[in-house]
Amino acid sequence: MMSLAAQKEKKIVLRSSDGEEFEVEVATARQSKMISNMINDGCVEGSIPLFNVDARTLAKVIEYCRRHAGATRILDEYDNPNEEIKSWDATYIDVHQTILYDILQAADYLEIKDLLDLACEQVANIIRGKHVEEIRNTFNIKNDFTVEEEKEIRKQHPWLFE
Amino acid sequence: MEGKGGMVAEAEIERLPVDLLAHIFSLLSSFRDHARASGVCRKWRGGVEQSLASREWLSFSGWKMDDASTARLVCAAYNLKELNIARSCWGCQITDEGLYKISLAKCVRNLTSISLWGLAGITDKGVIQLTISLWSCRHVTESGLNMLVNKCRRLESINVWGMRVPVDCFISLLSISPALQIKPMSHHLSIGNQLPVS
Repeated sequence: MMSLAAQKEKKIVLRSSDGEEFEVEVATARQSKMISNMINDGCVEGSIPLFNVDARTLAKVIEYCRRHAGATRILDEYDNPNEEIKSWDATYIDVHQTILYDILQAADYLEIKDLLDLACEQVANIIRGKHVEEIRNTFNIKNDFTVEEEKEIRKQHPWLFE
Repeated sequence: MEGKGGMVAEAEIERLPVDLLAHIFSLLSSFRDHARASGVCRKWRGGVEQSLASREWLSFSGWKMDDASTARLVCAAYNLKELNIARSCWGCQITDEGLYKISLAKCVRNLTSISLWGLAGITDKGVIQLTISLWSCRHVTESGLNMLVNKCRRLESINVWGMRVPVDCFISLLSISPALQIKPMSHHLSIGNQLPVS
């Protein structure tokens, strides 16, 4: 076991699926429950290969973890997320859909709950208040219901396609 | 907020597995949004079903719900523990038919709380566990009550203030579930089905 001070200084190397290496502080890496468990179990030797996360996504995820690890106070005195970090999060997650889904999947894989919630909330925001056809257009989704199925849906919710 | 993702060539969201879609849908609090999401495509429909199945509470308070759609949602919520179908100003109108349908749902055996209170925003959560509150529900009939008590054997108490159901009905409820506390007992068993003066 090494001392806390030594752990703080220690860096961890994360390797993306496309082979790029990122050196991060332990506190940053620990934002990921998966990596945190690996550190606790003492199985972090050399670099940690992350087969499901490419370099572009990993850089973006590390940016989030670094900010959240560095924030001295995420919660204010009433246990609400502090305004500064909230506005940082909002800017951070305002990205193109492609990157948004990359982040979402990486957050799921790396078990970074707050980041997963942030990304999911961003997608939920796009869905909210939209009609079925608007949702399909926004996400470019094909309607794969059969005529009968669609009839049944219309019967259940007559207002759905209005 | 639409972000910068309004225009994409391919359905990028197709990449997301159903359980992540379900997580996203669980953040939609509006049943209208739920229904719309389930009408988008098959995969999304599966995602909405999955998100419902993992819910432990449902509140229709403030929603204009009818028997059929309420019962359908409750039947899909396998892990439901708390159900709030209170009548609100928007008119969530559940009749005995709706109660009957709800009583057939798989989750009914595990329900610890149902609120049918006549106003929005008030549930018995945290006050008395295992309570059915049927305050001022004049659309619930005897058979609906019978069915509920019959199915919800873990029910400890039921609040029937202001309901228009004959005394005989409560006696038959007690014969199904002798330990059931019917509240307020005094009103109903002494002055019958008259409405208490408030």
